[in-house]
Amino acid sequence: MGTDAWTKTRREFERLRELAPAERERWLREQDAQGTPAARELRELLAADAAHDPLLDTDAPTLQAAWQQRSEPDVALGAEVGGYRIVEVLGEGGSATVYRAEPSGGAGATAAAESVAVKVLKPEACSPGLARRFEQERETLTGLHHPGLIRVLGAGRLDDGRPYLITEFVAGEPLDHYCRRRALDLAARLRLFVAVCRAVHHAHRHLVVHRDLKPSNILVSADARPKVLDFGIAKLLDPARDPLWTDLYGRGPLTPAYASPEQIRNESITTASDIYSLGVLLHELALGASPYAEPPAEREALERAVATGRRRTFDACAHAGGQTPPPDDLAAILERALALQPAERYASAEHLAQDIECFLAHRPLLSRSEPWPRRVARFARRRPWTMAAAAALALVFLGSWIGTQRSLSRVVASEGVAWRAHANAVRSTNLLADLLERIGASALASDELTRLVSETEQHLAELTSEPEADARLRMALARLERARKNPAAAETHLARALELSRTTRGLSWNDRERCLDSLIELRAQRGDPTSIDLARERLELLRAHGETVRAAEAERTLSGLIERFGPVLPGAKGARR
Amino acid sequence: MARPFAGGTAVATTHSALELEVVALLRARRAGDAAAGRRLFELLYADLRALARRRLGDERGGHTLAPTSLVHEVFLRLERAALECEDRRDYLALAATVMRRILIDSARRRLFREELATLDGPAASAAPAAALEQRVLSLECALERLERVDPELARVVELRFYLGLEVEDVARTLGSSTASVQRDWRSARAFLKRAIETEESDGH
Repeated sequence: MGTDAWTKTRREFERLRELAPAERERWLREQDAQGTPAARELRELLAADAAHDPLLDTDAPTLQAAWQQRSEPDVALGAEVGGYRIVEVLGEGGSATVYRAEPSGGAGATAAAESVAVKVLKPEACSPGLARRFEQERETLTGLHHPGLIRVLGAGRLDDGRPYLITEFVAGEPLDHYCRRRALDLAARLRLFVAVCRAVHHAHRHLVVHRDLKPSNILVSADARPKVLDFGIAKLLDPARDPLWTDLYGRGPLTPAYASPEQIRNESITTASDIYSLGVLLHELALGASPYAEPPAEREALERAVATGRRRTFDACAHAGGQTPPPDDLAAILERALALQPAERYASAEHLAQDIECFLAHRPLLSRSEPWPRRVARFARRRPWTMAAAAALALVFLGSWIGTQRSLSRVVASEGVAWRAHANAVRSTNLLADLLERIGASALASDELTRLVSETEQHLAELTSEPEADARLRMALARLERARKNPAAAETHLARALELSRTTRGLSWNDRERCLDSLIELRAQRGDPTSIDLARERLELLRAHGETVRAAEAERTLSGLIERFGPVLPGAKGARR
Repeated sequence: MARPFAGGTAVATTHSALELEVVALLRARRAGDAAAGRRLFELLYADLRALARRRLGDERGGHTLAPTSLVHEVFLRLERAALECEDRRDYLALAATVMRRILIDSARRRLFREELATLDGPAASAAPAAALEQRVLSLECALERLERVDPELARVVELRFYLGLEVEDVARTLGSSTASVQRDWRSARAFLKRAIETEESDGH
């Protein structure tokens, strides 16, 4: 075929493939009738265009990588394993090799369609621990049946005693790669994500936590169906079924870029941990970039960022990923899935899936029924300016409202009403405190805010009977004052809040720790040795609550202060001031 | 980034010897030095193979082999070495040819091994497993044909298939839009698939 002939054919082909099938067929028939020789070629091209190709739908580096074998294959090609014949090496990892195999009896085309994956533990990797994990993967998977999860077809041991696992073979590519390669739009990416959520949810319902969800563990087949694999470090949550229950608290292998904060901090793992990893996945699919600024190679820095929830803003990520910033609802979904506290995340992967579906259908999110203070707070985080005004408004309401409630409770001496008034006051104050904190330094230039601070202070005087609300407002004010370069005022508020936090039931040790932390810093800056006592109190507090990582940090702070000010003898506290 | 290469002499210390050598060879080659071209080919051949092997070792024991575009990695590395635009296009074209060579060599070697296995083993019968290797060889013929009738499409195939570059990167390299690369790739793919399959059915 010459250049001109092909150019013509190509133009026809490119036009035809955009047509509806019926229309295309009609045109081709006409050509057939006219005896156009190109008609047959066009048909073949269209057929080729529509069909999957084992070679062209991968790429040379991928193929080459799959073909590279470090040495002799560990199980000979052609060998029989569990009724299947080993055909080729699919991949090789640190501890296991994965082969493609076909039914022994099968022949040719049918056999290829029935390919399976056979995972064999390497001889050098046959430590009891790994063998157990391998065994566990088999047991875990055998109990799960879902189109989105890899199916186990068999298992056993080779002649030399090494365990093997036969699973279905997924001819697909990792999720991220698949999306990028096909240049899928946001909606298509999200639909894939929903399918992944459903598969994970199925595992969760069977008390299996995957613990290592990441794009390379999710393969998408040619017909756009994702499958979750590699349950190698999955855990059963049912202690009765899991003899390694205590292992749950030991940190297994993990991928920091996708791990949850509690995983990094070596705390107990629940299904919420997988929700977080799904959140990271969603983040990458939607924004084209990781939530963290730290590259995976800087493992320690990355782990710190994950553990403390130090994420980049969505806008910054979208910019880095070459995407548009996420719409509000999608941002809300991400916030929720990526919440630092497991309890604040989606209750299940199914809930997450449903919210994505709502987003896709432009319906209000189901999670919008969450408590409104949290919603407002989230809004505040994104729009500090608007919120400065909103907070001022809230304050006005709060003032008149507290007053009303007070007199009401005084008049109606019924205990129930009084209690409700109290609860409401606390709740609104919490909201206000939250708002004040979220407004942060960004809007501090405004006079509005100065007025806000002084008005809030006036309300503090009325809050003496509400120690919890009092403390919270003071903590929020302290932050604002610090940002306003007014450390003395901040210190006064914090000292009072700390005092309250020691005696008030509604405040948690976390609140106390936060007060201590800020106060230590302020006093140390001022060169006040009483910061040593506070640092000691903070250290004990953290130790008492098993916060080992942060306790270590608190200890360093303490020793730094002691070094600076010299040891403070008990009883000599006041003397140094 | 400022160009650290003045008159072909490397002054930067942050780049690997390979990066520097490749850049120097690219220059020499453009200046008409045939030996530089050969040396460059050998260098890349060894590097890409080593890279493939290393990537494989990195993967943890899953089923997956991340289809990492090995060349893409080299490409990024050279981007760090502040390749000029011309150098980069040159380099990519060359890398694609190298990858083509590597793939064919691998396919041949594997076919040969397969043959040996059927000779001494309990005959695993006419192995369907060799289908992909055969296809790689057929693809080479088909691509040669495409090069003759539509060199532009062949260029897309080299970058897209042999180098494993993403559509966007192909577009950037060729200075065209992703949409047109997408369209070209689809046409090229259909051409090649049809050519391969025609050859196969003729051969049997």
